[in-house]
Amino acid sequence: MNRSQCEHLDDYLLGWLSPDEAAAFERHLAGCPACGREREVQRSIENLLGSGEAFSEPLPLGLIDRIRDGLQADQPRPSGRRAWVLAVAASVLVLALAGGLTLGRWSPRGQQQAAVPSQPQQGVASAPDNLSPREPLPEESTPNRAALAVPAAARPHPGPARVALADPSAGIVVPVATKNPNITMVWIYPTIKPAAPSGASGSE
Amino acid sequence: MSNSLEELVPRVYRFALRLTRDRHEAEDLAQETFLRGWGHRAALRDPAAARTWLFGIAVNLWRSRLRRRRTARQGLESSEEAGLGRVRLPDQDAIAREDVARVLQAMDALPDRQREVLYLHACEALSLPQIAEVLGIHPGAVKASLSLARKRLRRQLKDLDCLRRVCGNETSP
Repeated sequence: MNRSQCEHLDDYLLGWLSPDEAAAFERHLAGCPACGREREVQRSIENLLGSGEAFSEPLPLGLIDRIRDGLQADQPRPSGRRAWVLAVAASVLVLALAGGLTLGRWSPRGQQQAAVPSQPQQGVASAPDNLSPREPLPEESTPNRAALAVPAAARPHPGPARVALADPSAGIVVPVATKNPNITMVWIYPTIKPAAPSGASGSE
Repeated sequence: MSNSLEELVPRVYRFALRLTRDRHEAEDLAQETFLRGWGHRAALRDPAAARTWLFGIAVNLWRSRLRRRRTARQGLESSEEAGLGRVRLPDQDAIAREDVARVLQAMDALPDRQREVLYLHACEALSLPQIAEVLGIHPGAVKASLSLARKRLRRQLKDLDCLRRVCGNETSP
């Protein structure tokens, strides 16, 4: 037995030898029982590995489904995300509109009347602020809306707004509770009065 | 990933099992491999190579885990406790079950590199360049590791019952 030739058994079985080398090894193999046994052992191992792997290692129950779920969860969902963005945008728009209407129409205490609309409703605004004061609203923590309440964090709080009618008898101002301290909302219920004599403005 | 999950998941899981030698670890590694692959699917230029590509991801993830733990000994101990020693095989294959279990145990006892190379070659039929790509090593290193692994496995398994049967029945003169 040529020990150096025996070392090439794997090279031969794996097809790594040149044609000439392979032919030489086959001549060696024919006269080497040790290499013959090794070859058969190797074939058996490969058969066992090839056939046994499939049934000896059962797949964990539900693994494919879990992976599929994980991949689906990782998928971008344009419709849902777009809907969320739209919802946020709509909420911000509503808040901005509400803030603009309320703060713009009625200026807060201590500020000039610049925020008063150019075409105020008759009998509204430019009124003393000691009438129908805005009730202080309870300080509510709104963690869910914190992300939306950008104006509250971005600009200094102007303080509670005070709303009053130029003619207190023209209506009733009722504050409406909001969760954002920057937003002041009121309901105005106009009063119905009998027709005044000529020239009367209705104000005191 | 043009191949179906039904085809790829078992292959990746079983490769992960050879890497980790622990079922729980292998399951976790397989899931992470697919998630990572999905996140980087744009890097898969040839969809037909998804299998080897995923194998490569699994290898990298596993090596990262080992580096984080700074010791591979922990994995060996856990594999002895919760791992492959508890394999349950179908009763009808009782004889083959013992032989397969011995082969797998012998393979798991190989050094990491040899075990990985042998598995990818014998069980996944990958070529040397493919194995080199998966493991990130030179093809020459694959060749050397494969030869060593085969020799060592033959030495350990020459007394297997089935091998004696096979040798007794089929040994050519």
